[in-house]
Amino acid sequence: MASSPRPLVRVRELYRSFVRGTEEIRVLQKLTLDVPEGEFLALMGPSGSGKTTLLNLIAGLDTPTGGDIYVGDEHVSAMSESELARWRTRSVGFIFQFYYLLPVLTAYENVELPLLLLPMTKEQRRKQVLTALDLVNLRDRMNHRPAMLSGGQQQRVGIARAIVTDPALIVADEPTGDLDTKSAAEVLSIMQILCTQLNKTIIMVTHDPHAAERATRVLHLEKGRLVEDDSRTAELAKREQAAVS
Amino acid sequence: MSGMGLETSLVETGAALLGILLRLVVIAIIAGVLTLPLFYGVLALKVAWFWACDVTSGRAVRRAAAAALKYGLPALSLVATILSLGYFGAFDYPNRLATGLPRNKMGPTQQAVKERVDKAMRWYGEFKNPALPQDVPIVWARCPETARELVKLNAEELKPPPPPPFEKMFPPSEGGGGPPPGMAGPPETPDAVTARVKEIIRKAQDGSLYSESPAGEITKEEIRAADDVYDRAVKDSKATQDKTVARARGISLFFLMLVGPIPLAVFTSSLVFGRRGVVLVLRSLIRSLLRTSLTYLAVFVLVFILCAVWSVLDFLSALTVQKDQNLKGIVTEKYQIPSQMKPSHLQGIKDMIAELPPDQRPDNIDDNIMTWAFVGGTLDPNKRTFQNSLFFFATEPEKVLKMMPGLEDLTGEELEQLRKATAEMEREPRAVVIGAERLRQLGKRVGDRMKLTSINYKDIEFDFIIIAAFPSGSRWEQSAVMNRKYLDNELDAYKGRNGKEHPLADKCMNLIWIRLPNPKAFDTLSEKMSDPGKFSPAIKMEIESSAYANFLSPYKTLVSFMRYALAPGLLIITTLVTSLVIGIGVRERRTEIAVLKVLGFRPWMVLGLILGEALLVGTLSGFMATATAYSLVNALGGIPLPIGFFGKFFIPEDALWWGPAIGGVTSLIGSVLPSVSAYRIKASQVFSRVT
Repeated sequence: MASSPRPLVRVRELYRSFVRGTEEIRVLQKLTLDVPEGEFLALMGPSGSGKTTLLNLIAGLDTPTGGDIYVGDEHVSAMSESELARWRTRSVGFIFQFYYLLPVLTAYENVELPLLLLPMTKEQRRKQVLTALDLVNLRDRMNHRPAMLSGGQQQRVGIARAIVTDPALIVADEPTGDLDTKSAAEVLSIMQILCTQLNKTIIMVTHDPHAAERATRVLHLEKGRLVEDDSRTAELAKREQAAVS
Repeated sequence: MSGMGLETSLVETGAALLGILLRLVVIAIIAGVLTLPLFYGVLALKVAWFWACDVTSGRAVRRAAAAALKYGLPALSLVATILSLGYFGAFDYPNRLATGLPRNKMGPTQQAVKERVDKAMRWYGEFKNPALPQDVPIVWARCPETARELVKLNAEELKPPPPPPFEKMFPPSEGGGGPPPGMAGPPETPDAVTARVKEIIRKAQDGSLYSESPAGEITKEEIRAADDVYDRAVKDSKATQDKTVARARGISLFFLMLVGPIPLAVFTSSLVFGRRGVVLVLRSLIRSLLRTSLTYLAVFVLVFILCAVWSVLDFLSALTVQKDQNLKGIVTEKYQIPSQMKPSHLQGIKDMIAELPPDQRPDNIDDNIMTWAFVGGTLDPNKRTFQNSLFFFATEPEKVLKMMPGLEDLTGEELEQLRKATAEMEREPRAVVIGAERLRQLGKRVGDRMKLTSINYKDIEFDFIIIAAFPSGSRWEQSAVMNRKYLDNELDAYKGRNGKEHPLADKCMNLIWIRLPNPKAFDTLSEKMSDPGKFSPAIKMEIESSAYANFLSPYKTLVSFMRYALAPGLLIITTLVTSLVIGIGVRERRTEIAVLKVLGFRPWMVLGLILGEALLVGTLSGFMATATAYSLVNALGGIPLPIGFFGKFFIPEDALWWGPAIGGVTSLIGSVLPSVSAYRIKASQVFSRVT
C-alpha cells in the first residue's frame, strides 16, 4: 500500500456531551481520527451515533466538550466564534441534505454568497462563480431561482456554493438523502471528481451504502466511538494494489 | 371664549376625539391599502438599481438601460433629497441650533429652496392655467355694448340645464343633498365668460376696446353687474391657478420625498454594508408579500393616527412655550370668565406702561399694544349651525401685522397681500379678512359681502365685505378679523336707535395684548396692574404661553390622555406589532439564517440584515403614512377637534420627517428582540433539529 498523505484533519481524544435536565448525554467519547488530504471519507452509523455532531465539530459549527481538532495548520477547537466564521468562509465548504439555498437569490447569487465575505472584486467573484457552476454543469441555469430547479440541480448549486471559495475541506451531511437515484449518482460523481481531480478532502455523513461505496474510506460510528469498516477498507486496498501492479 | 356660545365642552371634545380616531383608523386602512402599490414601487426602484449595477454584458440596449438606471436613479434621488429636505428646512437645523432661530422662522437654505420650488410651481400654474391679469381697469361707460354682452353671456351660461325627460316621473326628493339655501356661494365662472373676459382685457390693453361708438347710456346697475362678472372671472382664474399650483406643489413634494431620502439612504447603505446585503434585505421583503404588506399596513395605520394626535399636541405645546425676548403679555379680567373689560382700561394700561423705567418700556407704546373683542355670529339667525357660524377678532387693523401671533409662517407675498388688506380695512371699516378654509366652508369668496347676525352682541347685524383671506395652512385659516372701529360704530348706532347703551358697550374689551422687551418689564407691569383698586373690574396680565395654558386648562385631562396614554400607547402598539411580525419572519427563516452563519456570515451581519429590513419597511411606511396624512387631512380641511376656538388642526410640514423617523425607530426597536434571536441562532442546533 502506498504511504498515506499528510492528514488534513486531525481529531484528538474528542469529547462532546450535552446536558438535558440533570442528565448528561455523551455523544462522542475519546474519538481520535485522521483524515488525509484528498480523502473521500464516509461516516456511517445508526441515528444518534454522533455522525452529524462529529461533522459539525470538524467544520467549526460546534465546540467540543474536550479534545482537539486541527484542520491543516489551524487549531479549530481553540478558535472564537468570529474566528471560526472567518475560517469557515475560506476553508470549509458545506453540502446539506436539503440544499438550503436562499430562495430569494438566483443560482448565481447563491453561489456567490460566500465570496461576498472575502476581499474580492466583482470580476474576480464572477470568474470564480462561473468556474464553480461549470464544474457542476449548471451555467445555463445560473439566473434561475431555486424554486425553478429540480432537486438534483439544487444540490449541484449547493455543491458549487461549497467549492466556490476553493476550500481544502468539504463536509457533506447526507447529500443524497433527498434525491432520486439518478440525481444522487450525479451528485456523488461530482464529489468523486472533486476529490480525485481537485484533491479536495471530503467528509460525508450518509446512511446510504451505495453512497458510501463511492468513498475511499468508510468509518462507522457507534455510541460515539469509531468503528473502522475493515471489509470496505480492505476491499479498497485490494483495488488500489491491483491498479498499481 | 367661554360663555360666548361658540365654545365646546370637554365632553363634546372627548366625544369628537373618539369619533375622529375611529374615522382616522378607517381612512388610514383604506389609504394604506391604496398606497401599497406605491410602497412596492419604491422597493422595485431599488431592486432595479441593484439589477442595473450587475449588468455588465448582454445587448447594447440592455446595457444602456442598465447604465441609465445605475447612474440616473442615485442622481435623481440625490437631487430629490436636496430639494425636499431643503424645502422642509432640514439643512437649516445646524444653523437653527447654533443661532436659536425659532421653529416657525425659515432658515436661509429653506427660504432659498422654497422660493425656487414655489417659483417653478407658479410657472407651471401659469403655463397650465394662465390667470387673467388682475389689474386692468375697464371703463364700461366707454363700451356699454361689451358690458351688456358680458352680463348676458354670463346669465345664459349660468342658466340651469333643462330637466331630464324622466324627472317628471321621478321628481327629486325634497331637501336632499346640496348646501342649505344661500350657503352654496356664487357659482364658478363659466369657461365661455372667462374667454370673453380674456378678450376684453386684451382689447383694453391694445386700446381697441374703446374704439366702438357708445350705444346709448349705461346705467349704474349695468356697470355694477358687468363689474361683478368681470371681477369674479378675474378672481376665479387666479383661484383656479392657485389650486393648480397647490396641487402641483403637493404632488411634486410627495414624489420628491418618495424617490429622495429613503432610496438614497438605501443606495448609500449598500456602499457601506455591501450591495448583496442590501439586495438580500430587499429580496427578503419582496419574498413574503403578505407579511411585508401587513407590516407596512400596521406601521402605516399607527403612524397615520400618531401623526394626527401629535399634530394636535405639537400645536398646543408650541402655544404654551414661553419666549424670553419680545414676550407678549395678555391682559384679561382677573376674576371673571369670559373676560369683559371696560374700553377705558386701555388708556389706564397705556399710562402705566409709560411709567415703566426706560429699559422696560417698549419704544412705541401704541405699536406694541393691541385689543381684541370677540364677535360671534351667524349668517342664518333662523337656523344656526356650526357651518354658518363665524367668529371674529375685532381689533385695530394696523396691529394685525405688528402684533398678531401666528403670522410668522406667511410668505413675503402673503404678508404683502395682508398688508394691503389691513390698509383697506383702515379705509373701509366693514372690510374683513377671513381664513381661506373658513371661507370655503361658508361657501364665500373674497369680494363677497355677507350679513352676520351677532350672537353675543345681541340685536346687532354686521354687513361685511370680504377683502382678503388668510392663506390655507396658516394658523388663521379658520379665523376671521374685523375692524374694531366697525364694532364701536355699531355700538354707537345701537345707542342712537334704542336711546340707551348696548349691554356689552362697556364690556367690549375681551383681551389686550402687550409686547414687552424683557421678562423684568413683564414682572413690573404685572405687579402694577394687580394693585387692588387700580382697575375696576380688576385685571391681570399673563405671559402669552401661560394664558394659553390657562385657556386650555379645561382640556387638560383630554390633552394629558392624548400625550401620556394615546400617543405612547400607539408607539408601544407599533413596536409590538413590528416585533411580532418580524419575529414570525425570523422564526420562519431560522434555517436560512443558520445557512448564512455556516457560510461565514458573522452574527452582527445577520443582526444587520434583520434590522435593515425593519428599518426600511418602518421608514418607508412611516413616510407614506405621514405624507398621506399630510395631504389627505390638510386637503380635507384638518382634524375637526374642537378645542376652544382652535377648531381644526393641521398636520405640520415637520411631520414629513418625524413620521418616517417614528416608523423607522419603532420598527427598529420592535425588531431588536427578533434580531437578537437571529444573532443567537446556532447553526448546529438548527440542523440537528431539521434532520
